[in-house]
Amino acid sequence: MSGGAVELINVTKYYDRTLAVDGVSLSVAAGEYCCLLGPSGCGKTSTLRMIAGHELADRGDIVVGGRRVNDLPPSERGTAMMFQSYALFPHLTVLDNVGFAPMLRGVPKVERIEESRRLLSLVGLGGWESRYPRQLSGGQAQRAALARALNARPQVLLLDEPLSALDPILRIQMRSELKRMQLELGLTFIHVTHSQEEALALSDRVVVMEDGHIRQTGTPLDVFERPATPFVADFIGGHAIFRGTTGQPGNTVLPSGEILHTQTKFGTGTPVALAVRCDAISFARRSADDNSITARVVTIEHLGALIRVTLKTMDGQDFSVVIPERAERGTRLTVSEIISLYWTVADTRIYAEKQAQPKAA
Amino acid sequence: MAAARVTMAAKGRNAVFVVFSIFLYAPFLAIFILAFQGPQGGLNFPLRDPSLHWFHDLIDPRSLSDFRPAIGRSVILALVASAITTIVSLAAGLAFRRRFTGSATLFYLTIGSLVVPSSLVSIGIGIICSMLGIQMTWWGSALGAQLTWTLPFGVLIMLAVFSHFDRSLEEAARDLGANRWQVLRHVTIPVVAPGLFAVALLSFMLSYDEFARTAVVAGSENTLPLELFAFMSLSVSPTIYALGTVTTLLSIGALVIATAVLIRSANRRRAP
Repeated sequence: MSGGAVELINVTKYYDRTLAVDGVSLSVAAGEYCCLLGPSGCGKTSTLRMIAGHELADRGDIVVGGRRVNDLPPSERGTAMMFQSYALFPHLTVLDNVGFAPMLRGVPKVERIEESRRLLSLVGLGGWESRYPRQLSGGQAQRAALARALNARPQVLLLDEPLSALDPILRIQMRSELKRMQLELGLTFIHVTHSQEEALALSDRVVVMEDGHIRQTGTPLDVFERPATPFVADFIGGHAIFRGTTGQPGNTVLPSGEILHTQTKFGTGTPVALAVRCDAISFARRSADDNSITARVVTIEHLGALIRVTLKTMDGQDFSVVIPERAERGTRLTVSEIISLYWTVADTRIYAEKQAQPKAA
Repeated sequence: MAAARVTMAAKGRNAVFVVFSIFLYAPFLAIFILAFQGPQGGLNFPLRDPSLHWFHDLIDPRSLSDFRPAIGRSVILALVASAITTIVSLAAGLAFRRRFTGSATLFYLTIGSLVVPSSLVSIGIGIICSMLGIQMTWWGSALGAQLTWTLPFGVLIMLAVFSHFDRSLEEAARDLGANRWQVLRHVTIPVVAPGLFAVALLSFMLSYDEFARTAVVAGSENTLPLELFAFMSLSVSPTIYALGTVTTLLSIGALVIATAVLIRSANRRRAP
């Protein structure tokens, strides 16, 4: 088994008259772990299902391993899908589930059983061959579904929210196992998720989607450090967002009247959103040029070594900051207290608000 | 206190269960006992000189009351009706998963046919057969009449079964390389099999003891219920009780086997 590259060229999907995926273009290299990330309804699952062949694209090309696969049935695309519900066949044993694809290919029984057993032990389910799906726990069902998909000998594995049905501890464990499996097998993985944590932890490439469009593609670090739009900054998490209007060149005025220093990118009077990484905000002014804002403390959450403080600006915008627990000890925050927060101009990213943005093609 | 209340509730529940069972089975029990009436005994209690006399009468080809041909016809008819109902209900269940033109109308027409009085259906079929010059037989017109009864039930059951069906199972099968036929054979049918089994069983029983719809259209040879009715109006002897006992025990036996099969297949899929 080896991975195949996947390329989407201007792929569009309508459901009745509703536009679900709007001209999405994307290329995923062979052997890459790619996450499609976005809120529900953003078109990520539709995109995955079009690659799998369970939905037909209304426009555009889907290329897997160098072949245009638009008109091929799911099983001839070189892809295999792992379903959100795992979709294990309830009337078949784990072994027969895993051996389903070779059974259809007409592989002799002895060979089929041998290969299925090998895959089951690869995913850590050795000894569970004769169980039925209902006798498996969530994590085991997922392993069985993975083994079954691998037995179709795909170049590309498509995973639809594979971890969402698991409890938090298992989710993190299975997450690292998926990654290990992908590295071991060298397959291309395309994984749909609404969890930014999952996407950041797993991907070589994160694709952030919103309203049927790709808003940003890049490495997790790229996307986290340089979010392309306020939506991406907000969705990927870890950013405080302030909305205001550009004033004098180099200034942004918040509804509260506070003035923040920013790069000059847009004309005066443009509605803008400012994004600042939560961990770049501090309680102490480090330089006279620092931006500052006054806000009321809403909640204080202790996360161990870190503390997350959610706050509300004077004009009612919610945001949060993450600071080391040691730094907080000096200040002794209390709920409802009004405090000042500081960050550097270099850490302030500025975006024009959506309505002013040219419409994406 | 709590324990006492629980016991009271349990006692109440048991009492309801006993009354319900008596209500269901007491009439049959009377017939079951009277089937062993002696040769001189009558249709009512008391039971005189218990014997197997009337059971002998049942299988004596010389007697008026040889029900075996009628039983044979009824079993064959029920098997055929059950097979057709199962296949058509499966097809309808598959079809109704998509909304097609007229699907709602078809659904209500199906349900509606259940409220048309049975004897009217029978007479209607009789009229049409004589209009078209079709000879009425138990395996032709009577089968048709019974299907108007078994099909709507079968379709309703399969609609309920498919409403719980996880379509991603079929997608997964296609994803792994199954064509339409293989999806149906290896996934869809096995998954809905308990439902199909229920349809087969119910339609067999509906057909086996169907009277009103079959009455006018069965032609010259009677099914078992028709034969029983004719026999009762002709001469009444405890043979009828013997017959009732035999057929009921056979039916109960078939039900027990069927239920055992169902439970086994359900257990196989559940936790140990």
